Amino acid sequence: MRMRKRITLYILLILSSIILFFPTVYALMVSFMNGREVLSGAVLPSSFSLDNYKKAFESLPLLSYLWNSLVISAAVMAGQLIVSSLAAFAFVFIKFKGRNALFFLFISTMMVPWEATMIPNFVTIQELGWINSYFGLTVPFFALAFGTFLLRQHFKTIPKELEEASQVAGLSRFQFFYKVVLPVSKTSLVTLGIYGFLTTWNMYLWPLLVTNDETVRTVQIALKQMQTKEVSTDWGVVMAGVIIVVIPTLLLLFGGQKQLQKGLTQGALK
Amino acid sequence: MKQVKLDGLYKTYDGTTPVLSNVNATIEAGEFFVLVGPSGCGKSTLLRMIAGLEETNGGAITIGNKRADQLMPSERDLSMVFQNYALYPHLTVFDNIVFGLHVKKVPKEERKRRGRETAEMLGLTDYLKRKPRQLSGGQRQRVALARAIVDESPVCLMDEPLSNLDAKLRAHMRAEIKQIQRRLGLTIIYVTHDQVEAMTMGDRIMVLNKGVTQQIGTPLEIYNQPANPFVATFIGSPPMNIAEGEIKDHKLFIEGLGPIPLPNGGAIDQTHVYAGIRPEAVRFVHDPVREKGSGLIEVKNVEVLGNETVLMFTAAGRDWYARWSGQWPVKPGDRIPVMIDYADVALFDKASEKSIKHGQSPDVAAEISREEVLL
Ligand SMILES: Nc1ncnc2c1ncn2[C@@H]1O[C@H](COP(=O)(O)OP(=O)(O)O)[C@@H](O)[C@H]1O
Ligand SMILES: [Mg+2]
Repeated sequence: MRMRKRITLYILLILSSIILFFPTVYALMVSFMNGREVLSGAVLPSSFSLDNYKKAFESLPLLSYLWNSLVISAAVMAGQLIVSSLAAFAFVFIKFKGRNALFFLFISTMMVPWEATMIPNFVTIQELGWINSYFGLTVPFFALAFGTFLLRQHFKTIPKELEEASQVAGLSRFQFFYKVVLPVSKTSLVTLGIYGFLTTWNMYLWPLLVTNDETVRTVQIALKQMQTKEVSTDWGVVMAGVIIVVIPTLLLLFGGQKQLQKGLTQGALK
Repeated sequence: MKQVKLDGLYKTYDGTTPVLSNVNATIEAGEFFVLVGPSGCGKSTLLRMIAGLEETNGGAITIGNKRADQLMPSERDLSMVFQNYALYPHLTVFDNIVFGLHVKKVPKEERKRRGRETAEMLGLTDYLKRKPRQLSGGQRQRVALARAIVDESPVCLMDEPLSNLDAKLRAHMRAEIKQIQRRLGLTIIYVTHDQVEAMTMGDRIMVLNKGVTQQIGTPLEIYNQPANPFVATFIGSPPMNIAEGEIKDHKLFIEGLGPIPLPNGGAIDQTHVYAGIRPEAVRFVHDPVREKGSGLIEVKNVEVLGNETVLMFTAAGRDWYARWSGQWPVKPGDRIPVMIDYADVALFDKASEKSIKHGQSPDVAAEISREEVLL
């Protein structure tokens, strides 16, 4: 009975992982195929040639796009971590009138879809002259209600006595923030950092809006360009581009996962 | 080492109900001073006010010769041990211990030396590289102590530092803290709700109830000469038996017990009193007919502890205890004759609850002086 249950479970798991993973694997396969193979609907390439990858790099300044994406994602990640952790610190450790009301106002901005604020944001960026600049691509994303919420929840688990002990020891408020609160909340910071990085890396609409030349454009736009550049799309090249774009995010996920697991087992308080 | 002076301290959280009122005390340099009282009486609040973690709403705190109640916690030059230890979970034991020295910019070499010495004193040398979560409760407690001691602050505050430990470890740590305090000559202000800790550790004790000081004195003063029925019942285990009594015809009447004759010349002005009798002063009577002031009691419960026997019975509508040394063949339901000597009775005025007369203390009864003991 238990055996049968287990077998069923495994079959279901395998099936769903195949369904989930098929598009990615197929993209990988297509990236090695030549145009004829793609059109014939083959699943496996006849040979693993790297021609498509070469073409992908030749057709567009892919490296510079990658670099832009990296800079922007890293900047947004850092900005979000700094702004969210400082805001969360204020909401947890600094007493002031209307703190909870302000927090709920802050949180309620999560219910406004980002697209709704896009036009006012665009106008602001334009007024500031930040079109086609890293500023325009990063600064609007620094304040993140979700991040503040996540970190506030973690900060609240820090015992009050820890703050009092550091007060007695002579730590200033800011020293308490970076010497105690941040290290203790490493897990949440890593989670938020990865979340911020990936979201920014995968962003398409905003970079398209605020850039109009190649200097600061990101890889997501490059992918779209590959599709539309030629009359008939060379799917092999596009998929090669996709794989190149996905690799850094996978690296980050795998690296971060280890860090996350370590954090989860080590960070426990008390 | 510094003196700490509390002058008419007042504290309220909501602006109307006082949590502490008119607390006065002078804690001498090098003294082990215990604040004891039931849960919620304001002990932690008082300690936190001394530490500067809670503002005062009236009165003054002086540490050394400096008025301290407007200073920041770090400017008061003290260390503190918290009930839940408050160790930094991301730092190793060693870094936890020297954290404060780091903040005070003590040079690295000295930091190392002092950290090592303190760790050795508390038997932590083998654990210096571990994180707090890899330690047992008792070891964490030691780290918290080490962190307070390494500071060499003249005043050390402790808020129920032993309450998370099991009974055996607690007894051990009691002795250890006391020894360290003596060796280093620390001024310690120690908060506890446990009267045993207060009695065994304190040079002097302050008993607090509902934010009001009940009595300040050495452990024996508090035990032998309690200022009011609250102190009398709070200190000592089992507690002092207390009952309403009436003084008539030169006798003390307590319901459920025989009348206790007053000695010649021992007249008392009051009629209505509270009578307090320590459990060891309720004595067994061999010859109930001849002994004056004896009465029959019905035993409700018996606890045989090996070296002593504790009986529970009812008198004047309350539970009373008698404690006799040795193992007594008594069972619940037995009716046995007991007597109380007037000299052992403490009397309190019924209206003001102030002490009228202290009971005779056990050391007087034994009549052995310190000189004799030392021979
Ligand atoms: N931050 C606070 N806000 C409001 N009331 C408090 C606060 N801290 C303590 N109290 C109240 O003050 C009283 C004394 O508390 P406390 O000093 O913690 O007692 P103890 O340490 O003796 O158990 C209690 O009635 C408690 O409810
Ligand atoms: Mg307390």
